Amino acid sequence: MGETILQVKNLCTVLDLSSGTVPVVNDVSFDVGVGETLGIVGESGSGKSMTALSIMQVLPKPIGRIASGQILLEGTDLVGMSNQQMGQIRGREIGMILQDPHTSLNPVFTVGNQVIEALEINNPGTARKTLRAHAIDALKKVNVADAERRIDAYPHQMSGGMKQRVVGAIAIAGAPKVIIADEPTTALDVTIQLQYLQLLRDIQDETGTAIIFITHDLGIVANLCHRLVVMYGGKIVESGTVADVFGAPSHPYTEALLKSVPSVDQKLDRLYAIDGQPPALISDRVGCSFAPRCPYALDICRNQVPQESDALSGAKSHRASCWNMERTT
Amino acid sequence: MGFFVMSQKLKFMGHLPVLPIVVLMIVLIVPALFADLIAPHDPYKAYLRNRLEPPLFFGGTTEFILGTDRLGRDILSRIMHGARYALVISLVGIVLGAIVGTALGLIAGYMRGRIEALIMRIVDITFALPSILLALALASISGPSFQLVIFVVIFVIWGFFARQVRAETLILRERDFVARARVAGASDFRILHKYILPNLVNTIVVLATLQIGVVIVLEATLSFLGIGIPRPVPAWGLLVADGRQLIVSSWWISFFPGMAILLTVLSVNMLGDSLRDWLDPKLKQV
Repeated sequence: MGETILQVKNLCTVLDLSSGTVPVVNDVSFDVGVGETLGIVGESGSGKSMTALSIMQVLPKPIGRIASGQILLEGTDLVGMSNQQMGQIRGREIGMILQDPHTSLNPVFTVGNQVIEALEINNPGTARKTLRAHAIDALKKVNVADAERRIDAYPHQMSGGMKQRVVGAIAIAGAPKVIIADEPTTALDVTIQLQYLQLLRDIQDETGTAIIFITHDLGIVANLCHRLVVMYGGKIVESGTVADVFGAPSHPYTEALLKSVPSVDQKLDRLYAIDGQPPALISDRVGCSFAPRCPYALDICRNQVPQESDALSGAKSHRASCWNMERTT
Repeated sequence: MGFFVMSQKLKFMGHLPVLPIVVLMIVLIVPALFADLIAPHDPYKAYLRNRLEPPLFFGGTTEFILGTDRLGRDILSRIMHGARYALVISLVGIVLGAIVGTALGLIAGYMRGRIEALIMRIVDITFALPSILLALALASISGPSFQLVIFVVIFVIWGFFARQVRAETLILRERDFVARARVAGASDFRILHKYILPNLVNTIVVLATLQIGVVIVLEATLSFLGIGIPRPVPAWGLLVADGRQLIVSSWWISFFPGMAILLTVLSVNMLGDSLRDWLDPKLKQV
């Protein structure tokens, strides 16, 4: 792992709804280094996508805004940059791959047109012919078979896996230093998922980009990521290397997530599921937001927010926020 | 793509509304383009000896097939020349109205916030304001003119475009491919121009077709009231107005120009409906 490229410090993002201000990302801090893959794990509504949108500063207008915190890209704070300045960052410094390839491409233009457009944004003034050649190269790089011909296809003529490759080609067109992948394989079927993950790994090996991989699939995290952060209710509840976290899950939520992944070696009548619902972010609950669903909850959990501390594995980078890591009940 | 488009085209050809197209060609388009060549008489020339000649089969002659007005001008020739004004006004007015409405609708739907509220309230106001009254007021200030008619047409139709375009922009701007363009570093202008506008083309074309009928009636109304294109230009509405006092004795003066308006608007609307069903079934309720 090289030096830190992107550092998020105490990020708080809120949505201003008519019913009140909702903190969707609450005091989140993490960093990612050159050539490193960081997994962000959590269930729907845990704030992982909102974290990604905050980094790109494309929060839903006009309700979303970053309330406080810093997003440092190679030491430069992105928070407070104008939309125009962010336009220079998006695509060139930080690329993003969205979840659903079927809707991420403009239906009225050919895929080549869209790859060329991304290249053009990053290298204005280049001749159309050169751009086309570059686009074919870019499509080859993401393993689009028969790229010379496919470049003139429309999105609806391609399969989901192919489209997601094109989206990948667009994301890496500006040679970004960081790629944020927001559940890029969720809409693909399993065999294509594996191919796509391998592709991301190849791109990373070749270019050394940092990848922030957002998912709820722990299998992918184990496979692809070096480190992970687990989010719950807009907060990071546990973070550490994949080996440490999987070896000694210290937050009951992480433990429960790992338990709910079915294993081929075990015979199960019923799949494990975490009881209850994710927390409503607007409620003024005191204490740990996981307490109502936690089997180990103590009195203190319901009254006081747990502080981040060293986790069970004892590794320096492994941190968790739980009052009851020793599981006394 | 080739095959897909071809098959779609063939499908449309199968449903092509032949009758409205033929009627439109005969009543509007061919006369508008070739009136100078095919009109039997000069539309302004008064054959004073043949005043109020009835049409053929009603006691008239082949000389004046649709009869003559009280100055002895040939009604058929006047209708043919009038088609040109109907066509030019509807095309120019709709193109300009569509440009204004689309631009403001895009801005409203994309920018949101106060600008959106302002633009949409202006749309509400233009819908609430009686356009004929406005035209009368303006005509009394500046006198009737071609520019005035175009202005009133734009005023009446831009709101339809602004409303529809805004509504669809609201949907399109939340689509993933727009989000993807934004995270790829596309500017707002690029997003509007490359991602939202191309996806609106069908809607705009259909809406424009459906407005042609409205505009032709509006133009005829304005000229009927004498605030359209000034005399002696043979605009259809003026021709209808010419026969108003003689409607009992010489019905043909008003009847044939009225038929021209009726047939044109009817055919344009039927054509617009089939175009809409083909291109944009979402617009069914418009």
